[in-house]
Order: sequence, then C-alpha cells, then structure tokens
Amino acid sequence: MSDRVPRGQLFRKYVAVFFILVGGLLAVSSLVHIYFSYQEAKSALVRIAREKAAAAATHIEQFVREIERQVRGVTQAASADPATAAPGGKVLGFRGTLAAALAEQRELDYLRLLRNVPAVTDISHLDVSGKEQLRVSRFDLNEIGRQEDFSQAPKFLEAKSGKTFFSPVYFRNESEPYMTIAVPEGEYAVEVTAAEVNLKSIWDVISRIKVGGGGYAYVVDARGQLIAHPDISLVLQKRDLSALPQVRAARTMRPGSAGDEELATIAPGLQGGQALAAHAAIAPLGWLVFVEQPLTEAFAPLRASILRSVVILMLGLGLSVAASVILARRMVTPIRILQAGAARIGTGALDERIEVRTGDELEALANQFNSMAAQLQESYANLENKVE
Amino acid sequence: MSYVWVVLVALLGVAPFTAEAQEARRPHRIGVLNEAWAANHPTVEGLKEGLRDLGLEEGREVTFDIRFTEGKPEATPAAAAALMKAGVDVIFTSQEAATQAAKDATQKIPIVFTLVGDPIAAGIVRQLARPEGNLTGVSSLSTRLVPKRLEILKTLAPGIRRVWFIYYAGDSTTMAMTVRALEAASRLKLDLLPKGVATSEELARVLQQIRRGDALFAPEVSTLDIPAAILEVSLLSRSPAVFPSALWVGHGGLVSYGPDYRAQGVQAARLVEKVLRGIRPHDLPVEGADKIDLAVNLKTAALLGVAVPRKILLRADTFRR
Repeated sequence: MSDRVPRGQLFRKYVAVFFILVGGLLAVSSLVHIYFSYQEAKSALVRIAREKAAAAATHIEQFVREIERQVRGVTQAASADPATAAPGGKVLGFRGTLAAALAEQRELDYLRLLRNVPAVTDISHLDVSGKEQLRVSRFDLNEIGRQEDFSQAPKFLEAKSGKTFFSPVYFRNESEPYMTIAVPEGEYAVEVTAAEVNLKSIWDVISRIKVGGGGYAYVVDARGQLIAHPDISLVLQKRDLSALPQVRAARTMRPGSAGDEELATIAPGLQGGQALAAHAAIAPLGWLVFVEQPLTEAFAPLRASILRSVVILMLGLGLSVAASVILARRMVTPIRILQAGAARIGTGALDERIEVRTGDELEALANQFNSMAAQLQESYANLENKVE
Repeated sequence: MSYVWVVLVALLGVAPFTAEAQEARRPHRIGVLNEAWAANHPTVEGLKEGLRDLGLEEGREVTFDIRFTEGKPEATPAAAAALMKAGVDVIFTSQEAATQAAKDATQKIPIVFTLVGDPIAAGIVRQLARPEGNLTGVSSLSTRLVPKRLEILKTLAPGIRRVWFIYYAGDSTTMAMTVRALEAASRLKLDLLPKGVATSEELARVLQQIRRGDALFAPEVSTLDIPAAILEVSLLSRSPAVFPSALWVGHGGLVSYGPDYRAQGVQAARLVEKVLRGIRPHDLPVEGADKIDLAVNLKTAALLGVAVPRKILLRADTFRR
C-alpha cells in the first residue's frame, strides 16, 4: 500500500499552500500598491498638465488683449490729440476742416498701428451710422470715404454697445486664420474701430510654450479648427480637429459645470502616439488651449517606481518559495521518519524506536508507536515464555 | 480604466530604439538654384541662418551645392539638370524662373521655393493649403502688393503721372500683375506703362525713353538684372522708383515695400528642415512671407528732391540715411 502513495505528494501540497498564502498576499498587495501609485501619479500629472494649459491660455489671451489694447490706444489718440484740434495755423470754424484734420490724424494713427503691430493687416473706422469712412491696409489700397454699410454687421453692433467684439476665426488666402477685433471709439461709444488680425502671429507665443521635452501646446477655435500650433504647417492646412476625442470632450464640457470631471485625457496625440492632453478655455474668445505630452515622457518618473515595485515583488516571491520549501520540509521530514519507523515495526522489528523531537503531536504519535512496539515486544516475550 | 493596463504594459516594455539612435548619417545635400550673381544671395544666407537655428550645421548635418546663373534665363535649366545629377536631397530655389526650371527637371526631389510672387498664377502649385506634387515654399506676395507699391510711390511723390512698369517678358505672373497694376493705377490716377522686355537690348531701349518727372516700378524678378538697371536710371534721371524689397533701398533705391529676402530664406528653412525629416511637400502648405516692410532711403529722397510725408515716416519700418 505505502509504495503506491507518491512520495512527494504531501511535500508539494505544503509548498503550494505556503506559497499561495505568502506569495499571493505579497503579489496582491504589490499590485494594489502599483495601481494606486499609478492613479496618484496620474492625477498629479493631470494637475500639472492642467496648470500648464491654464498658463498657456493666459499667455495667448494676453497676446490678443495686447492687440486689443493697441487698437483701443489708436482710437483714443484719434479723438484726443491736441494736434487735431488746432491743425497747423489753419482757420478753424469750418466743420469740414476739423473733420478733414481728424480724418488725417486718424489715418496717421492707423499707419503707426500697422507699423507697431505686425499682426494687424487692416484697420477701419466706422462712423455713427455704421458706414466705413477709412480703411488702412497692409495689402490693399487704403480707402477713404468708401461708405460701405456695416450697420447690421456684428462687429459694429457689438462694439457700439460698448464691448470689444471678437469675431469667429475666418480664413484668408485659403489657409491663414484671421479674426476681427472691433472696439468702441471715444467716451460715448458712437463710432467703431475694427481691426483684422492675422492669427499666424500667435505662432511666436505658442512655439515658446514648453511642455516637458516633447510636449507642445495648440489652440482650437469654437468650431474645433486648429488656429495655432508650433508647427505652422498644420495650421495652414486648416486642420479640423473637432473629431479628436480630447477636443470633443473639451467642447462638450461647459465651463463651470466641469466640477470634478476628468480634466485631462489620454488620447491619440496630434503628432502620433498616445499623449496626455489637458485643456483650458479662453472664455472671451471661445477658444480652447490644449497641452499635450507624449505618454512615455509624461509617465517616465512613474516607470522607475513601478520597476522598483516589480523587482521587490520578484524578490519577495523568491523568498516566499524558499520559505515554503523549508517550512514544508520541516513538516514532512518527521512524518517520513514516522512512516519509515512504522513500516519497520510492521515487518517485525519490534525493538525499533522512532526518534522524532518536534515537541508536538508528531512526537506524541511517535511515542505512541514506540510504546505500541514496546507493548507488542512485551506480549511476544510473555507468549514465548508461556509456550516454553 | 482599461487603458491603465495598456499604460502599465507600455511602461514595463523596453523603450523602443528610435531612428535617432542610429549611427551618425551622412549630411543632407541641399541644392540651391537661383539667378543671382553670387553664391551668397540673401535668401541663401537666410536659409543657412535658419537651418543653423534649427540645429542643422553646415558641413556636419547639411552641405550646400549652390548654382547661380547670373540673371541668364537660358542657363537655368542646365543648372537644374546638373543639380539632379549631383544627387541632392532637396532643391532650394529663389524666384520663378529657377523654381520653374527645377520643377521641369524633377517630379521626385522636393523643391522649396522663395521669392515667388504668386505661386498659383505662375503655375507652380495649384493650391496653397495643399500644394500638389513635390513643391512648397514661401510666397513673397508680390502680385498682391503691386497696388500698395504704386500707392506708396504716389504718396511719396504726389506729383508723378507716368509710371514705367518694366518686367521680364518671360515671367509667367506678369498677366496677373499687370491687371492688378492697371486697376490700381487708374484708381490712383496714375498713367501706367507696362513694358515687357525679353533681352538686354530691349531693356536699354525702354530705359532711354524715360523722361524727368516719370516714375519707375521695379519688378521682383531679377532676370536680365532689371531692378538694378531701374535703380541706376532712377538715380541718374532723378526719377522716383519703388522696389519690392529693402535690399534695393540699401543700394540707394528710394522706397521699397515687401518682404525681406533674408527673412524669406529663414522662413523657408523651416520647410527645408521638415522636408529633410521626410515630410512630403504635399503636406506643407505654401506660406505667405511673414513680415512686410516699408523701407525709405532719406538720402535718395533728398537727392531726388522728394519731401518724405508724415504718412510714410510714421509707417516706415526702416530708414536709410
């Protein structure tokens, strides 16, 4: 019977039980640790990315605000220049003379603006009734008194109500993004100055925004069109990004309702591969600024910590294997001695004594065997005496 | 959260060996083709500067094979063919004739052009946002700026009536330019005389007809060295002349309105660098020149007896004294 029982069965069972207990616990705890540290690191990265996006949005808004400020500055100069009030020695009193002097001063101011702000390509003056009185252009002939009617145009209506008007982005020459900025003129906002701004110039700002080593920032308008990117070629291609998951998510997320929603996503980057993308809105313009960083780069610090955890896990598993083997051996060895001793007693070696010093039930069992053998030996001796 | 595992697997995976890890490769060869009179044309200098800023050092990452044909239109196709034979990686051209010659010579090697006034009218690309074929580049917007140049000429010298518009007859954008120029001239109450010349003799004949009080309009295309001839006549006959670029104002021209040549080279360097990285010209939109400058030579103005008005003084980006 005893030969049929596989010799290592018990040993293997013990090893397996110990290993599953020790190693399994270790593995589970390590994986839980890795998972949570991944989540923590990710939320930290998202926070950083989001801050970067907010900073980039501020830079770009400042850039647009600066152009707005320059355009506003021109309107103030035009209406409050002492030189226009008293044009060189000429007799005042004729309304016409004053108007002509004002118009000339305005033209000079517009010319100065074109020199100072390369992004502005056209600047025009709309009178009280919304008719264009002056247009100074970088590319086309200047127009004086063209009288084109803009009284129903949003740029006139909104600016007349006292606010700065930012038009939706439009494209010129097939591919260059432009925007109209219209500002009210003078204290009572009866007239309007409108400037056409070539948004190619945002390139200077966007290409200086650094996001780690391989990251970059870009801007999409309210319709999801790319309007600024460090690679100007992508902008000039008139890329429509409204289908990108990060753009779609950002556009559906209304400012204010964002709450604790995920403000950054892992999505296919604009330049291939997976990227960590965060965004921030430029509310007055309806634009969204995205900041993207390649995933491999963003998660590089995390990679080291995960590798460390894995190495420790492997060491732990190795140790637990060794410990299981030693433990199992200590459990199994006395049983084997018992087994061997019992077998010898069974074959008639009644003077055999089993030596187990484990101080537990196994030692008690061995002692039982020994006393059983002793009693058997004694009763055999009695029987022999009686037969004799 | 399914991407968590994607990320974990990606993080544990061995970092892929990128192309940059390869051993140092031979420098890219950039062929340069133009009708200049020397190898150091401002666009080429701009290109070198731009590439240096992008980390491509001459001699190490890039080498230049420069062919210039000294204003001789008949020599350009042969120079283009020679560049093909030399086996360059990209061709950098300036002006239309050279660009056309390069385009005729190859449909495979990418071409990046500069100083092309109107790439569509010239038939060099069919659209700007997605140029088809193997060409892209920087448009100098010359055709667009024709009316503006006439306006500036008139502002500077309000007394002028007749304006000579002398250009190389083989220039394929002439039609578009002339139409715009005539239209603008009539609005500015100027009498525009467009004259296409095909040879140096013709040019000399036309220049002899210029009288005192006439004004001159210099083309961007330097074939037959027309802008230089106009500059000379302008100074000799005290006739106001407008030029397409500040380069000519530096040489004594009265006024110029247009993009800087060197700046266009710098701008085109970005496109060249992308082409060398393997991006197809098809995916690189033609760019308009970034900055349009008004330059005035005050010394020439004094010589010509022109009083520079405030409208020009306030607008001008650069002055020569």
